[in-house]
Amino acid sequence: MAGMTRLAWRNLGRNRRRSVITGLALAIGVSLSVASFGLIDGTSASLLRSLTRYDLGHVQVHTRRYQATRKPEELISGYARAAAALRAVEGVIGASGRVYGYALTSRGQRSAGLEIVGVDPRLEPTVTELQRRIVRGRYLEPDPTPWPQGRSLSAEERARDEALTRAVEAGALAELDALEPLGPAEGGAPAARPARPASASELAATRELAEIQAPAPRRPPRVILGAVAARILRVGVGDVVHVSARSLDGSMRDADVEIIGLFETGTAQIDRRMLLHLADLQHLGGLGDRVHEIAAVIDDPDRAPEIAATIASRLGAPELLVRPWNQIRPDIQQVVDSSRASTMVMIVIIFFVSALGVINTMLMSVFERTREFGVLKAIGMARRRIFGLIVAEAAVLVVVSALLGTGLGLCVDLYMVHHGIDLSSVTGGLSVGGVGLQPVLHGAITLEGLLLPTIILSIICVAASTYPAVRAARLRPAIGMRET
Amino acid sequence: MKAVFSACALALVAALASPPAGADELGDLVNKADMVYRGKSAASVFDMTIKTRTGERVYKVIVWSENGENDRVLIKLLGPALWRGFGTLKLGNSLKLYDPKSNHVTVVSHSMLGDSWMGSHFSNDDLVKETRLDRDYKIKGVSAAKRDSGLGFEATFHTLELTPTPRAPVVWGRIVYELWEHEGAAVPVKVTYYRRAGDQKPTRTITFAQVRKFDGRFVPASLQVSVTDKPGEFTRIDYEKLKFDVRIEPEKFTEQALRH
Repeated sequence: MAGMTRLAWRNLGRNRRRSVITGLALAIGVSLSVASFGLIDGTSASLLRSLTRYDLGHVQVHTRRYQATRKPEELISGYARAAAALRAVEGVIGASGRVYGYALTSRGQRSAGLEIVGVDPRLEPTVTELQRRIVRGRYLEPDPTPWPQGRSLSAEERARDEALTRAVEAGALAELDALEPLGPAEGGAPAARPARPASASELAATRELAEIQAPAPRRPPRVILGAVAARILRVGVGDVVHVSARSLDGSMRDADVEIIGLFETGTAQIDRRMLLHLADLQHLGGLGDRVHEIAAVIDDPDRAPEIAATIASRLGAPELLVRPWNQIRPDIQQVVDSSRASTMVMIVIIFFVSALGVINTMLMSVFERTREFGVLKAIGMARRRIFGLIVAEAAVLVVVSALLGTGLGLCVDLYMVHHGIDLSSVTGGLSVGGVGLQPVLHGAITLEGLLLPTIILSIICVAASTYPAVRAARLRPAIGMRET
Repeated sequence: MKAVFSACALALVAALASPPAGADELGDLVNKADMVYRGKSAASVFDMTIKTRTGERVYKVIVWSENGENDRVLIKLLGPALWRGFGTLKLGNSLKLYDPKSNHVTVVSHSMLGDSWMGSHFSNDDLVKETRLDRDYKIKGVSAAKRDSGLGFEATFHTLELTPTPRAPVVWGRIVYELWEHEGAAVPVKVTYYRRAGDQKPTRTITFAQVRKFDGRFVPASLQVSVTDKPGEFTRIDYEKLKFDVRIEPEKFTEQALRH
């Protein structure tokens, strides 16, 4: 076998120029394939990263009904225990709870409906990397806003409240009684009976009773705001924004919040959010210590389904639904899969063209050496061995070129990993399925991406070389030797 | 002869041009019943009881309204203390909410129209929308029968089915309207709203009860809305005083009055 390989190598050297040109064509094909695999894998990885590390995490826990309805009352109770159970699962790097809400935010004349998210500033950085995407100001503070809990009124206070309401009501009824009917003399001087003005003591008592039940925070809660939301509201760091959020009982709760930072991820949905301390939003929404979602990040995204199953069994709560990222966003999984598949199709096409070159080279070589094969057969070389020789020549050519090409492709990959391809001059921002990508595309080096082109090329080309090989093997010695 | 012929032709044209008289009458009935708490203008004080999964609360409310080209409504919460001073001002299509604690007026945007008003089972949209039932819906009489009204006289009870006309800007696919009629007065009994025309389960139901005379008109003193999705929950309004066609000074419908 070693002899055959040496013979094949020497035969390739007989027409050095032709072998080098064919070999270079194959090498360039392989290097392009390696590079495009590198780019596709890199883009997929950064897409996955944008998706999972700014928002989703790899595995999420919700109540079953929250997933279907997204109703704010679908809460996970026993959050602290559940999160601890999650973090104890092998492969889980971090886990953090979140609360979602919707709020009307306004400042001056400008207003916007925003998604507000309560996160735990101590744990959230183990799941998402939003703290790295702060473009102005700073990230959330680890401690919640000092905000006393309200209590229900005592019997005496309730009696005072009721008396107050009765007094106000009596005034209102008197006001109604004093109304004059719409007479025929419409348009005359309107009945000028002003509403009973609220007395100072009434206002003070109202404020006191309200403060007992729903105390105001000691200072405005501090929030960070997405860049898109900040642009809509025209606000910056240090500004105070009014937030009107719906609480669990359906009523609106109002609060002034202070913006301490702005973030920008490139994903429009995230950049339209307002983030605040988990405890602050729980307080505002009257949620107690419950959360809507627990998100976890794991060491290897490919193991997400398996780890999700482990978490589900560890939690042992049938009302909770544990899902890996590719079940939450199957569209992104499809984008990743389909871009890989399309690269594969392209590679196979490139290699079929290359295979034609290999057939051509080997056929030329066989035709040139008709006399030589005639002699070899005449002195008793088996058909099988002549077949093997031609295939070996093709194989040596392909393997040497593929190695060269892989080396070349690796160099391109390394460049793309370290420098990336900057598309910011072509496009302002990229997004796939609503998930924003950085405008600089980086490559990724994977074993599969490096070896797959070589393997595919070898199979195609060796298969292609069987045609010239069969022709050489079938040569009849007498006819071959007659050739000059 | 000629005169008789042209008279016949005229009658024919008139018959073709105007819709059947029956539909018109039903439209009038529905409109009257739907406007039972209105009038040219109205002022009222009522209790609003909201029962949800998390608890029950009662607002004491005063409402001023003026109905015409542009509806104008001012709602103020009189009590209890936690809610006193909260206000809602509706001027035509715009809706503003006032929170006395933060002294802040919120202009309700389109995206908030579907949200509940003050935690009740009414939406902001219920306050803003100006649906004329006889204009936006096709009305079909299902049944009509004379029965005792419970007020000492017999009234005609109608069950009507309303389906939206094509392109009508409405949210309901079908409304079943039950009402009674007596000497020109029309009083709603029960209104059932279906999201889609073919739905079996209603989306929400409004039930009227305790018909009394307020300011010379028959009006149900109590109405209760319940939502099929939220069993056991409801919002009930119990009227204490209702005054119709009263003169309300224009200053009532300003942001100043809302903040007052």
